Amino acid sequence: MSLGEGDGQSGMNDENIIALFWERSEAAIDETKKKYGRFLYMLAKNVLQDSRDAEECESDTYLHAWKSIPPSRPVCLKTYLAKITRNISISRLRKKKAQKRGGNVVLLPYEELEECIPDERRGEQPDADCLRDYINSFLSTLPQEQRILFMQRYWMAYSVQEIARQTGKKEKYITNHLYLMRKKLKLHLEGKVIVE
Amino acid sequence: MSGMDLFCALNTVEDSFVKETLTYTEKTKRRKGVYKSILGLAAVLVLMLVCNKFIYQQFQSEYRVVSRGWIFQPIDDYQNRIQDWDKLLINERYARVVGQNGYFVSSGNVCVEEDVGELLGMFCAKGKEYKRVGILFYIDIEILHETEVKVFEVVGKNSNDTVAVKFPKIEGYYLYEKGN
Repeated sequence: MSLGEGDGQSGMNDENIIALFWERSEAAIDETKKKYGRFLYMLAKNVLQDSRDAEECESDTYLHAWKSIPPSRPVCLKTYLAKITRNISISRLRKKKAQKRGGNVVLLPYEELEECIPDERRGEQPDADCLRDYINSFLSTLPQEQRILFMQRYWMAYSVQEIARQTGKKEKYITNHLYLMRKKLKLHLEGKVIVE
Repeated sequence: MSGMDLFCALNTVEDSFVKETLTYTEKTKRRKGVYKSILGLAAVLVLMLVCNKFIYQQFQSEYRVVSRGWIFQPIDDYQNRIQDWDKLLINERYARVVGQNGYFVSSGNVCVEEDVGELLGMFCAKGKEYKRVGILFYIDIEILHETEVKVFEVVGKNSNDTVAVKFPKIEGYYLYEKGN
């Protein structure tokens, strides 16, 4: 599923949209929706695999942005909104996950990440702060192409097919590289890779 | 910790990594959009060329000229010379070229008498009849046999089923219109 820029109907730049948020003008929501609505919806849909849930997540994103700007003043509005959408989508996904899924043999990104989890019995699991550092250090060690590949799959929740279509690479190539990166991530999470 | 926790924890990655990915995705999408446009345009052009060639070939096979070397004159000037024109077209389906002296050229067997001074040019079309809106005035006697029948260049056709034909030996174009 593709993540486009937005509907492209808003000519307003990010600074002006953020200014509207700060002025508590409801036009900020409209402009955000115009510019990033489609992008946020597709991001949520990639994570949730459900149109209705994705629509609600998109709406929740505007509400969350309304509440958080101010005091926040995002440097990059798109990244900021994407993070909100992703958080909300994951929360919703957690709730949905309680329901049993059946018949779907395609692994979702978070299912693939299971194999990166360090062994709990050996007490190697990092806390939240360490986890953030490990992930960031892991990403910083990757070449740009690989990093984008990883982010597209595990941050933006693209399907392997979509990534292959975008990059022009074969699905097998994508799958193999993702596998190798997951192995590498596991080493980072186990603290076996020290990055200065 | 579960895969979902890790998936969730990825939200804490540095903004620069997110921005980098979003920028790459946008650029890729834009680039693909441009490629698609170019490919689409090329496909349309190729399709147009193919269709054009196909239509032209169809057109050529449909309109077969069985006389040549005639000068075009308005039909009104010669209206009185045409005998049973409509009748001939309707009833004599084989008749294609009619002369004022009553001879004809059939679609299957071209037989033009050498001593004929004037002919009315007609098309030989597949199962269709066409009458001319003007008269081709004879300028160079040539007896056409079936093997010599040539396909002349049809240069245009309008919505009224009028066709324009270019003859090799004469400058200008000749207009023919579809009969009933």
